[in-house]
Amino acid sequence: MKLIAGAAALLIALMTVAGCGGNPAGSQPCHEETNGVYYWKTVFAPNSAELAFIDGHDVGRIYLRMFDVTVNPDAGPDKTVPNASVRIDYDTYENLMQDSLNGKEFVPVVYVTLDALKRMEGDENELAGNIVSRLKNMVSYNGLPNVAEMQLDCDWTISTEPSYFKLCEDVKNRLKQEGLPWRLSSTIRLHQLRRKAPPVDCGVLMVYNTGNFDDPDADNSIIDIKDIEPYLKHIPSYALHLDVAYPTYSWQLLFRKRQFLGLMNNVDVADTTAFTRVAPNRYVARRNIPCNNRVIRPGDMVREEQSAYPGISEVKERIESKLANRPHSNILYHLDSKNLSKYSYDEIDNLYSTAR
Amino acid sequence: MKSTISTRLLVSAVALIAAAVPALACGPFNPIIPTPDFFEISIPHRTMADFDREENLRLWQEMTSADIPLSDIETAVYTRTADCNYGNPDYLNLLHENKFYTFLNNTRDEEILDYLAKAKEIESRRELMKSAWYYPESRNYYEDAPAAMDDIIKVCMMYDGSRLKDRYAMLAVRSMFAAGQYSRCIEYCDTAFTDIPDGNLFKSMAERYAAGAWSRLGDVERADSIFAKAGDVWSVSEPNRLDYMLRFNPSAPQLMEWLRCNTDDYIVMITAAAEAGELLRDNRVTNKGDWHFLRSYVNNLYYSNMRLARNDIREALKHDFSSDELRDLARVWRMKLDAMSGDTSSLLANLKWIEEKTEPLNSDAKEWARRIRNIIYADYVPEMWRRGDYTTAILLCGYADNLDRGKIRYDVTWEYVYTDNRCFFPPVVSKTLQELRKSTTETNPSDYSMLSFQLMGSLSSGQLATVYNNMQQATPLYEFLKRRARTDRDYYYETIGTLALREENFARAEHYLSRVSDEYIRTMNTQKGGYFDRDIFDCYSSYRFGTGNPHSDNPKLTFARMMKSLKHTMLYGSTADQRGLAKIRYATARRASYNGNWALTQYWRGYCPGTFMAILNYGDNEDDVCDYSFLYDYDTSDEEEAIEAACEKAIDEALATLTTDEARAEAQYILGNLATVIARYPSTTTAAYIRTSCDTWSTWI
Repeated sequence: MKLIAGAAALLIALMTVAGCGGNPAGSQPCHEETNGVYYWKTVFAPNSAELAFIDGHDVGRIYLRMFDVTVNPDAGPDKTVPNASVRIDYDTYENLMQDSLNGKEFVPVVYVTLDALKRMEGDENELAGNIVSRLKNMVSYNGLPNVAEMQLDCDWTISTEPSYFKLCEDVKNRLKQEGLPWRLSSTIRLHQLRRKAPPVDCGVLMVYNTGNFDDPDADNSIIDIKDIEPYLKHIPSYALHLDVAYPTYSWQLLFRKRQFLGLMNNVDVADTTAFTRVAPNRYVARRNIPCNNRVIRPGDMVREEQSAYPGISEVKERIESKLANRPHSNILYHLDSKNLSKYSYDEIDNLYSTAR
Repeated sequence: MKSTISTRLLVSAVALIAAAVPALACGPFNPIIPTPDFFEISIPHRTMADFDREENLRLWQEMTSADIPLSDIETAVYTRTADCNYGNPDYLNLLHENKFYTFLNNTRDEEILDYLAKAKEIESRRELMKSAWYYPESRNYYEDAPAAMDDIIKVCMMYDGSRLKDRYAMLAVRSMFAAGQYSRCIEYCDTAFTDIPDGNLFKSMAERYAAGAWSRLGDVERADSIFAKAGDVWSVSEPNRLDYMLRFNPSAPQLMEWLRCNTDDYIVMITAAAEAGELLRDNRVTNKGDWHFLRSYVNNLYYSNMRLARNDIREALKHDFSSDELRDLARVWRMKLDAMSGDTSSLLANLKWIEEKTEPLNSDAKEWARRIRNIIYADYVPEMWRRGDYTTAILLCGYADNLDRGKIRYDVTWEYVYTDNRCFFPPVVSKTLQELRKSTTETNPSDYSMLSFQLMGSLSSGQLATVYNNMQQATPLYEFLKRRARTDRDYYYETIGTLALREENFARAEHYLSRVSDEYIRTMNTQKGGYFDRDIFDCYSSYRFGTGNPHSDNPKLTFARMMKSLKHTMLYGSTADQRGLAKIRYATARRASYNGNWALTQYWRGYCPGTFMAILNYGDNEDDVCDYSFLYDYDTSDEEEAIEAACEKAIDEALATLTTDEARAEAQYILGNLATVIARYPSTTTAAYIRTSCDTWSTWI
């Protein structure tokens, strides 16, 4: 009896540990749980539908892309430079100070290209200083309210991992030097789940762009359970608080002789005089079609990819099962009224729910 | 004369040798002529910022003290200087070194010091704002623009004094522009300078910032008109900026500066010259001198119209110029045109004027020296030479050659020293040309290579003697030129004597060379180089015949006398053998004087990288390349073959006239054919001498 009780206690203890995700650090809350959304356009000017979305779904946290860090194309003292900085006009600036967005938490995000990261190897401290300094001024100048966190977004690889981790450390140090009581978060891509967690306070698991978009045989490179499955096992033990970002966008990819040419916009694939449907989401051009700055030629293939609710839901269910009792928030990528209008209110709510 | 036939033969033989020397080469030969700027500007030119800077420095000096060097003001105002507080050791150093700061500190001029501190703060922030990573911290509520400079703008606008009012107003405008507050920049500029007169530097600078603001706001036309009125030709965006500037501000000195930087733009220059006619009738144009000058330059450069070019430059000098620099350049341009036309009426007056500009304390002394040389070498000397006025040509040329040589110092330590297994260069020692002229050990770097010496050497000995006599005239021009050109008797007489040696005029050579001091000869480069140490004949004859004297104090004189004597014997020797041997010695010696003993008739031999090249050329035109080797390098001169051939012929003829074996043996000995002597004339005294005296058996066995 004693033996059985002891074994049971041990088993319960083990299960508790397993149920907690296997790692105490990962289960520590980083910040308050709330619905989140990414804003990834160069001009921050949410329209009324988008503002209504934020209000209607209690979005408490807006991840706002502030600028990219790219390699300096010109000769000059700076090896890397900020690029495509977000613009916030005066009216939006005033709105931010008023009620509509005033109560929301803004997380400024900086996207660091891999080339820029490689270029700054050894000078991560300088890059950290530049990023924090500029971000601080941008937040102040544009009146972003309730900033308590900043985020780095980078698709680092095994070889660039040390550099990225150094950058994260340096950013944290710099935040302290500047007197900014901000947390530091980082995006985490699925393949990075296998690696050690970066030295940040929390992470956002990017569950989109899961496949290779330039693979002509891929079905849906935006989100596909088959692409995600191999990585799920790393989630419970991942040593970092993880929020999860799901896609709500769609796109069209153009291929010519199995070579990826680029992303397209608003190609009318339903026009049967122009396209022949050869698969559920594949269309082959029948004639020359001028489109944007390109000509789609006969034989070119357009693959339409959607973030359809059933697909996202299926993935979300699997991920939620892995996250179990770990506190986390769900985030949608990204705030765009046209894309979001494809989902019903309940579907959005379901995507935001955390099954806890 | 004894035998008319043999005499005629000998005379003709001598004449043949003489005739074999070709006519002395033509002259003059221009060196690679310096190409200075007359009207054009080929060095990095000034921009509007440079014009502003020069005027600003002048104004600071006027406000403080004329004794403060502009360079000190420039350091204080335009470079990063230490924070102006006594706790800063760098500032304390500045107080000792910089007169501007010292003055301000001693007069307790806190007003200026405070202004400078603010100006530097603004500059520092502007530098920061240039960084790609810069982002302003706060918005300006005045307009949707960064508030990066708001605090300092406010301070600048608060100044209520009068002394620095214009400067502070400009600082405020500048700061507003830097902060991107364009509307504010324009409005403030309009109000802040109301009671400041036009022509004020800071008003002009502020207006140009406002113009920049207009441009940013899209009103480019308005911006261009402001730039043009201010003279800022570089900021005018109008494609035909010349036309635009001519409409708005033809008197702008900046416009003339811009034109001077574009003299190789044919369209720009002929357009400007065409417009000049209209401008010269316009009373508003204040710098008519500039425009006449430009037209003169274009008429010469592009239209080759000397008459119009000279008319314009004469007119130019009757009018005002935008700067003293242009006035001076106009005067030297007139000098150039006079030279090209062969007009010497103002030559002396112009030389006196322009020579002052070559004083070493002038920063552009070298450029002025190049102008003088260009005018003299390219124009005056060829014209005078063409007229046959060799004296003036050589004096002028000598003047130009020596223009600055009196003051230049020449390094005399070249060789490294190797001692104690180490190699090092001793400290540099330098000497003036005057000192080197007197030196018996150091090389004279110029007197035997400069153009005037080459011109001297291109004349005949008689012509050069005439030149020397002529230059003793005490005309004002000659007296002026002789101050610089080298005209001492030794220098000329030695050269005349050398030319006479080449001409086989040994009597004349003796006459002149005998009047050259031994002291002078010891200073000659050929003497210092030991080039006279070799006997005129080869070593085999020196002990017996002793006709060479390698250790003479005046080798050329010794040679002249020997050759004169041989010539006499060739004609008047009592036997055929005597005459024949004399002829052989004469021919051999003459040949040697262009070969192994070249120093008797030349001043340079061979090629030494980095030193004088005995070739003058005009550049790419090979036809113009003229080889001065007749003076310098026999090996490559055209004379070589002629003299060799003549000497060979003379020797062959002389050998044929010998009658005895003794004479023939002696002849072969003179020619260095020792084996021939032994083989063919074994019983002669020469053969006996060879057997008993010549150590190198292989030469005769």
